[in-house]
This record gives sequence, C-alpha cells and structure tokens, in this order.
Amino acid sequence: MAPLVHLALAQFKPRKGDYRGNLERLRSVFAQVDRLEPRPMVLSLSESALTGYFLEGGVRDNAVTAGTLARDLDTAFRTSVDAVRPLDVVIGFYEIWNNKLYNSAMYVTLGDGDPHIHHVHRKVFLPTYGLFDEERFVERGRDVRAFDTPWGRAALLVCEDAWHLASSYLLFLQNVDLILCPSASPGRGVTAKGEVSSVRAWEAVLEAQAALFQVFVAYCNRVGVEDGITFFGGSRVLDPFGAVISRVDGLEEGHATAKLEEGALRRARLFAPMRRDEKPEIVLRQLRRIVEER
Amino acid sequence: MKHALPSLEPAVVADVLVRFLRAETSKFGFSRGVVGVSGGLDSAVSAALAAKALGPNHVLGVLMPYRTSSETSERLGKLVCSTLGLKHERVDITAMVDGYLEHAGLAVSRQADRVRAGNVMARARMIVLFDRSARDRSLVIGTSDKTEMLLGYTTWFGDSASAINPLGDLYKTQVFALARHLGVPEEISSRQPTPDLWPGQTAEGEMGVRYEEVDAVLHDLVDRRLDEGELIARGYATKLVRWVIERVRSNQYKRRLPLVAKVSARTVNLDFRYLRDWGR
Repeated sequence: MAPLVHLALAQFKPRKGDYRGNLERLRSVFAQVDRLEPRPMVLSLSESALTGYFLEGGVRDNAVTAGTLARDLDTAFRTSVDAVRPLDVVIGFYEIWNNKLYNSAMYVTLGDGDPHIHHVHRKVFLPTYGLFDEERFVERGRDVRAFDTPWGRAALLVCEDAWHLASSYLLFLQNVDLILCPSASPGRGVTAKGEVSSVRAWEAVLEAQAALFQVFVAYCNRVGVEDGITFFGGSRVLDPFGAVISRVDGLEEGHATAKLEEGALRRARLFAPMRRDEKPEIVLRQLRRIVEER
Repeated sequence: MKHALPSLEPAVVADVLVRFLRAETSKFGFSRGVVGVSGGLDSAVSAALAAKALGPNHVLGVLMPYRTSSETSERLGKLVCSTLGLKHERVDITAMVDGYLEHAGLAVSRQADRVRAGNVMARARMIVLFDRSARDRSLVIGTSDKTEMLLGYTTWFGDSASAINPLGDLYKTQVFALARHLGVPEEISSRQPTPDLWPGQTAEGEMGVRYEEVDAVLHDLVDRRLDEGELIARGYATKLVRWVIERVRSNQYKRRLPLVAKVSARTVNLDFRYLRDWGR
C-alpha cells in the first residue's frame, strides 16, 4: 500500500525569547530527522516553537514574518544535513504582518530552491481565560482553509482551534486528509491515577475529531517549563478511526514517526460514508437562522 | 457530612515539581537553593524536592530558632537535613528579633503583642534566607502551601517570601501525601503543623479549623468554583463556609505585588506586562 506521507513529530523544549538560540538547537533536530529511515517527508513542531509561548509583551519583540522564518529555517536546515533533500516543515510562530501580531502556524518546503510557503494559518480561537491571555497580545485569524501538498490535502490548526469543533468540521468539508495541530498545552489537574486531566481531555478531543471527520491528525505539543507552568508533551498521530498510531511519551524532548497509509483513509470513509452523507447546505441554513436569532 | 479532597498521584506531582525547580533555577543561571527548615511538614517537603531537583550538595538547609522555639522543631529540622544529606546552618534569630522588639516596646509573652512579634520573627528569618542566597548565589525556595496562601495564614514578606515555590498549588493535606511519597520522616509528617512563633501554637488551634475540613471547602470553592449556596448545600457548616470565603477575599493583598499608582503611558505590571522568565 502506497503511503500518503511519512511524518515526524518533534517534541521540542524552546528557550524562552531566544529565537536565534532555538533555531540553532533546531539544527540537531533537522540532522536527526534526516538520518531516520525511511526519511520523513514532513516534520511537525509545536506552537511558538522558537520563542516559547507565554511571552505577553514579549510577543512584539519575538514576532517575525512568515518569509523571514521560512528563510531562517531553510538556512538552518541546509547547514544541518550532509546532503540536502527537501523537507516539509510545520511550525508554530508569533507572526507580524502589516503591523499586526498573530499566533500562526506555517507549512513550508525547505531545501528545494527558495523555501516554498504552502500555507500560513493564523490561530482563530485565542484562549483568553484561566491561565491564558492571548487575545490581549495577538489578533484573531479569520480563515480556516485547507491546502494541497504534493502528497495530499492538509490543514493547520493551532492548539485551541482544535477545541472548537467548527474548525475541524470546516476542514472536513474541504476534504482534508491530515490535520496538523502544533500546540503549547500546559498540564493541569493531576488525578489519583496519575493522569493529567488536560492531557486526557486532549486525547478525547483528538480521537473524536479523527474519527468523526475521518482524517489523520498529527498533534505536536511541546515540553519544558515557563514561569512555573509545565508543558505536558503527549504529541501523537491518530488514524482516521481515531486510534493512536504513534506518540512521544514522557516530559522530555523526543520524536515520533508515522507512516500515514492512503488505504486507512479509504477504509474509514467506506466503513461510514460521513463525507458523502454530510449536508452542509442544511448546516448553513441552520447557522444563518441561529446567528440571526442570537 | 464528611468531604475529602481528591487525591493526587504523588509520583506524578513530585516529577512535575522537581522539573519545575530544576528549570526555574537553571534558567536564571543558578544551580543552588536555600530552604528555611523549621522541622515542620512544608519545609521538609520543599527541602526533599529541592534535594531531588538540584542534588543534596546544592541545597542548604537553614535552621533559625528563636529563644522560645521548641527544641523538638530544631531536632526535627536537623533530622530533615541529615536524612536528605543537606548541609545545614543554625542561625539563632533571638538577638535580631529581641533588638527590634525592645525598640518597638513589644513583648512576645504579652498576648496582645504576639501577632506582631510573630511577624517580626518570620521577617527576620526572611532576611537570613535572602542574605544566605546572596552569599551563596542560590535561590530561596519557598515553603508556603496553597491552604496558607489562600487563607492568608502567612506573614507578608516573611515566610511567604521566596524566589520559587514548589508547594503553592498543593493543599496542606496533599502535602502530607507527598511527604509520605518522598520519605519524609514519620515524626515530621505526623506532627501538628505549627508556625512555632510562640510556645504551644498550632495552626489548626489558632485558626480554629481542621485542615481536612478547610482544604475540602477551599478545593470546592477555588478549584471547582462552587459558590456559597452550593457549598452549604453540599453539607459544609455555614459558619465555616463564610469564614473561608472571607479569609480568601480579605487576604488577596498578600498574594499580589504592592499596588502601583498609574501615571505614565506604560506602568510596571499594569500595561508593561512580561512574565518573570522573559528573555530566559
């Protein structure tokens, strides 16, 4: 069975506010991924992977344009491998664009001429509650859009985006094969069984989305501690039935790889033809009515 | 009705706290910690976590008795240090404290002066710890638990002062469980908590409530966000519920930095907002 794509997730621990230093450390991740057999075609990193997440006023100091990041990644990649073979990278970053700041993720091809940015997703659902304060420091994105890659149709969601079922529903309607979700999720709520409530909740959310929308889901969280808050990793890849097919265990840096089979998508969609039977026009009519009545 | 706090798996909690201590010490360029070891539960647990995180050779335990402190406290403080393999120092704060008490006309034996005198002792200990931290290039590791912080059962800028605090999100009864996991000597983990500011003082005696009860109320109030009516409907005594709510509210100031009057366009901590590990 032909693979759709070979994927790697790198659970990374950035040093806060040190874009250059983290970029340098990323070179060893590139080198490591390049040595894997089979060599992954896509590498996913976490949200705000090169700066740390809780920056507050520091967002402005650490934000870059997608073009700057793509060029910096391309240089780091080319100087970290012996023989340059193209690699697609998914990475979360604080973006500055037209004097506005966003919490974004990018899909970019490195090592193949100039870096090619396929898509930039700006986080739509900004958590501003509890320990989160995003909307104070970044703008809300307004688009949830799928895009084509050489191996299939993909989409990006950034962390909290995945907690709004509308995000993945919109992607389901756009026929995506793989949702990539960079995240910076803090662990909270240790239970008597030794589980962490927030990690368990993420597992349920990801399983539901993969199974309901019959897509592969690649969730890449980070590790490390920022101002007393521990990021809990738990990076994983799920198949279109909602089963975990690869994961990174523990609170340390590490990576996981997965071979995403085209056949799994076909089997899931034949088993339960949710896509064929979906009725977006009914949903749209109901949404219009609900929004007008609000 | 008896209520219990949900238990936490202590091994997972200890792992998180050890990683926290290691990360928040090293990112500021430090490798050493200093803990005020009182012979009580909280400081024993903080010291045990610090020893795991930084290594026993990188943690200093400081015993700081006042002339009225119990001998048991000092003996148990030494037991903590020897069990964990920590180097310890003994700094008698009597001269520091009595010098000021005399100047201020306070007497530790006078009932009316006890709280003020107790605060002076707690702040004298803070001075010693921060001075040792400057001498040794180490960080003061805090020992205040969540129960004390929420109820304000601490001395502002005294025992509540630290650079990093591993226990601040654990209720007292959860600290007991963690102590057992960390192998804190039974004599300490089974001891009645006491600030030991005057002879015979116990925390439960002074507050007039049992930790088991008050922790359950705090957990339902703070973590589960139940309101006063819901707490009473769950079977907690009305008097206890109202006392807890009022203590939490009226002690908010102890959990915050001092207020700054806004004058300029960008004011520290109001609209000049950065986290502490900014640039680290």
